[in-house]
Amino acid sequence: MIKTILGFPALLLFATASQAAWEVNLPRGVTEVSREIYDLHMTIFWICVAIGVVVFGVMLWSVIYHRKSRGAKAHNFHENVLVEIAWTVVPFIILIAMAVPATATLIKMYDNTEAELDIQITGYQWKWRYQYLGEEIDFFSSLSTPRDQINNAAVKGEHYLLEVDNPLVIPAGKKVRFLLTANDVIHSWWVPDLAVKKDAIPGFINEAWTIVNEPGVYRGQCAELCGKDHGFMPIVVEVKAQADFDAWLAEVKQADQDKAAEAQKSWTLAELMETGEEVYNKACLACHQANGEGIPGVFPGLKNSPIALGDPGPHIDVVLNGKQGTAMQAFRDQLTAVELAAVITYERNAWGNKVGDLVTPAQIAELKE
Amino acid sequence: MKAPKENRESPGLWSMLLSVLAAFFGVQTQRNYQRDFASGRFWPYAVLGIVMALSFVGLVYLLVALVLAQ
Repeated sequence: MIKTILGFPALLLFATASQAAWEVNLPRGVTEVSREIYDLHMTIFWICVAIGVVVFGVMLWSVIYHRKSRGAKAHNFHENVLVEIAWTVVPFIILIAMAVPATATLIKMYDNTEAELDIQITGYQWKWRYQYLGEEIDFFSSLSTPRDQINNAAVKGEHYLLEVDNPLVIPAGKKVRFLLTANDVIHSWWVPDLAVKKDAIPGFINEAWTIVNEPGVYRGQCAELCGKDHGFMPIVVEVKAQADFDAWLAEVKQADQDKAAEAQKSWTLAELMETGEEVYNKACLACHQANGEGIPGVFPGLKNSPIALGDPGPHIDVVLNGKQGTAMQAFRDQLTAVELAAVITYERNAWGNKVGDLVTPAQIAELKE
Repeated sequence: MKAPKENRESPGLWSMLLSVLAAFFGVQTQRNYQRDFASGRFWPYAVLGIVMALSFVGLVYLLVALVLAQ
């Protein structure tokens, strides 16, 4: 018994120490709005705790001190207008009192005006596309966790399933507005530390915003069940100081130019196959599978398929423009000319497909224009 | 609704208004309840109820406009 009593505070201490690792509560986040939401949440939480203590306290006290074995007699009466009014008015006042700070926070959250940078975010099955409006920057961000880790063939990394190839980069201390939409089904863009969680709905544009003062890396996930790889389309936001952000902008623009130039050089089959495999693992593997056999009845196989073995024209068309009425997406904007040419070449020459021809990046670059 | 046809005076506008308010609130005294059902007619209460529901909507609308204007 004494041990139990002594052990209890130790348990409390342990709970505080382990809180950082195993957080049950809402995160405080890193923005003014996220902290305000956290404070509001705690205020409401403590109000609920107080109500719980009072209500259950009175109930328990009544049960214990006015129990039948003590000789308590039920007081039979039907109505008491005063009591009924009291128990209606009191919750009403509590609700109004809670609505006042909640409304103030909501108004702040929905104030999308005066943004210094607009970024369009589009949800795809299963990746995100970021377009910096007015900056001509447009890229896709997909999961970069190696398949081996997912299949338990390798040790899982620190940011398992929370890492991407191209993170969203935003400047610190600037108001950034997000315009959210989706290409196929409903997704939801959620970064807990920024207190931004907004549905991305095809045909609609939702708005959200953030100002992050501290440079850093913040991670999130898709929060609306969107199909097979819903759990495999994380979000990584990298907040950079203004100077670093400007450098990043210049770097990305330069890289885009380099990619366009790369398409014009001549490629060998081996080079295209190597790049093609990388692209395939990133963009196609989720549905068509590593062995190219797809999932029968759901996603068609590419191995021995008439399209992959036939004339390159229809093969290029289906990869660039997708296939209406199926889950096959249009990869025209998602991949560069080099990546498209490489992956098509790969599909025509992998898993025992031996067409032997090669689709050139220059050919694709022409079609993309 | 079959109210007994007695020659009792039906409730005045003010007490009908209070009864509708009490209905909005969800609490009414047994005495007023008996009075309304014994001598009141249905339609005046229904009309009052609809008018007050609409004014409640208007009130909420105004309140939101006022809060957002700040």
